[in-house]
Amino acid sequence: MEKAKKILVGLVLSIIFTVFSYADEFSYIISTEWLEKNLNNSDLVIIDIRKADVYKAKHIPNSINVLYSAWAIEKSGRKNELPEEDDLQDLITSAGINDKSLIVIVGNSDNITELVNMTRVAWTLYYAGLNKVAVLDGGFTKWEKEGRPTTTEIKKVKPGNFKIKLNRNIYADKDYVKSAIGKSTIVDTRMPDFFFGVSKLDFIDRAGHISGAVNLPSAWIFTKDGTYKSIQELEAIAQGVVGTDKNKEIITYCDTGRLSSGWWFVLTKILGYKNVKMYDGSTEDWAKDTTMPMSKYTWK
Amino acid sequence: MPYGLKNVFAERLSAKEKKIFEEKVFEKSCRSCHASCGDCHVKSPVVGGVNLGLIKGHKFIKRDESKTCALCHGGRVYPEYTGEYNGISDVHYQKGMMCMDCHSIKEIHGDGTPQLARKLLEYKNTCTKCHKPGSEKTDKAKEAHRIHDEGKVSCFACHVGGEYRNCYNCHVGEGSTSKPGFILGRNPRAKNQLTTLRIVPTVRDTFKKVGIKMENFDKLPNYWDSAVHNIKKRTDRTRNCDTCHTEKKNFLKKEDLIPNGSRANEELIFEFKK
Repeated sequence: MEKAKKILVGLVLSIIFTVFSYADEFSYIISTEWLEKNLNNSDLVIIDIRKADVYKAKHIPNSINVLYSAWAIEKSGRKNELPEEDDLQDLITSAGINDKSLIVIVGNSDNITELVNMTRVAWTLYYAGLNKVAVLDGGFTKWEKEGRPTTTEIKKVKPGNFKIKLNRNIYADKDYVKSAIGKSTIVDTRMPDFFFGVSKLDFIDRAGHISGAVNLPSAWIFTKDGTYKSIQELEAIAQGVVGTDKNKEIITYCDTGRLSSGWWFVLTKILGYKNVKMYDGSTEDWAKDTTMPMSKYTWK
Repeated sequence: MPYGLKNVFAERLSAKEKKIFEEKVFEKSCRSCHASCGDCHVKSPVVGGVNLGLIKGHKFIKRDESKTCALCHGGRVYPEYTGEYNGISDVHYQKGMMCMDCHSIKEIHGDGTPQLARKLLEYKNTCTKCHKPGSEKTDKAKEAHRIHDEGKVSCFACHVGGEYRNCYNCHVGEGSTSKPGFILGRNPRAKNQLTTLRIVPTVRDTFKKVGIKMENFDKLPNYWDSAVHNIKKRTDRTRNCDTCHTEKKNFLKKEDLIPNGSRANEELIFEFKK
């Protein structure tokens, strides 16, 4: 009887997870059901980050379109970088974001890049000082598959009043990462081939990983249908690599600072890790500087 | 200076060469780009022999820029606009705007009056039709626009977001090569204006294979004013006067001119008044 009770509680918790994290009351991973019920909530700002033409063809009612590449720009020869502060302010204002806005990021979920595009935009908004930014579980792909309402009507946006207050606690640069080697848990969120150094993207100067990093691929966050795995599974995966100390500093990175936003988001917003930063420049920046230590052909 | 690709280009040719050009180049190449109604509203236009077929079955489609405009303008304008070319998407695209949000039906269809060139259209789109001078939100922007009025500096010169495609060394049947670049210089159509220039890949022996030597090659430059579609509100030029006035970053210089190019190229080099 006791065992059945435990199983039941576990099951209920797992269902609740898709709507609520236990970090606080706000839902960081929004279900399609919840979003449909709350489409007319005046505090809700639904930001569709897909390309303009696909947005125009069909989108969630009341959503607005601000392309992914507006939030993660190419700067100083590096991909997926933060916009300049004044540009970021403009984006946030023109998206109609206010102090009390609840923001939901919507992208497609057909592949890992599309999935982490949503968390990367969320990270940028948290960096801007917002604190209620969620992603749509399964994205527009799931929304459409479930036959939920769509429109071609473009919502008129009234400029928002939120003034950005940069949250530098979630950002790390090259020098910071260098100083954290041996002290913090540095997490490489790329696939094992890249971590081990047998594969590398063309624009990355050196193969392998930041010396001392551990490997926790962001692709492992999601199920095959592009939704988030259960909280228990995510917690088990994360704890096996980064441990259970939720106060220890963790720095996530990948090739360009996109994949790494996946685990940054899950660790911080879902699993309650309190001190997680993302190295925005990531391997693209690190590997260019030959004085920065990298290891390959080893799991250490 | 005349307008229109054909009319401008004809300046390089002798009377005899113009006839050869009409027959062997214009009809077979240039005109093949010109679309019919169905090319934009029923099927995607055929480009370089590639036919993507119907847009949405046999339905008449009002607009679907990514399957129509993007195909003919897919070498430079469209991928620059979306950021697929060089990672810098246009601010209008970032906010969900597509081609026809700026380029009106009238601009595209015309009004039935034959025109020599699209640049001569009265209802051609311009930045200032939406962004009215004097309506800037800050005094800094107002002042910057007052000093750099459009007669002296085009909107593009300051607001183009970064490098764009420049094509080099075109030869009939062999194509050309391209690489990203950013060039500021005098507008060949209005020499007092500083603007973004794009290299036109026509070189001295481009049409050699069809028997055209281009006897008046040096009449026209190899760089032309270009409405580059990767606009940003703020750029390194709008943020810092020194980018242009001290560093002269991206300005066309004599040593950077394409080798064996037109003698008219030197006229496009912009020098600041001392």
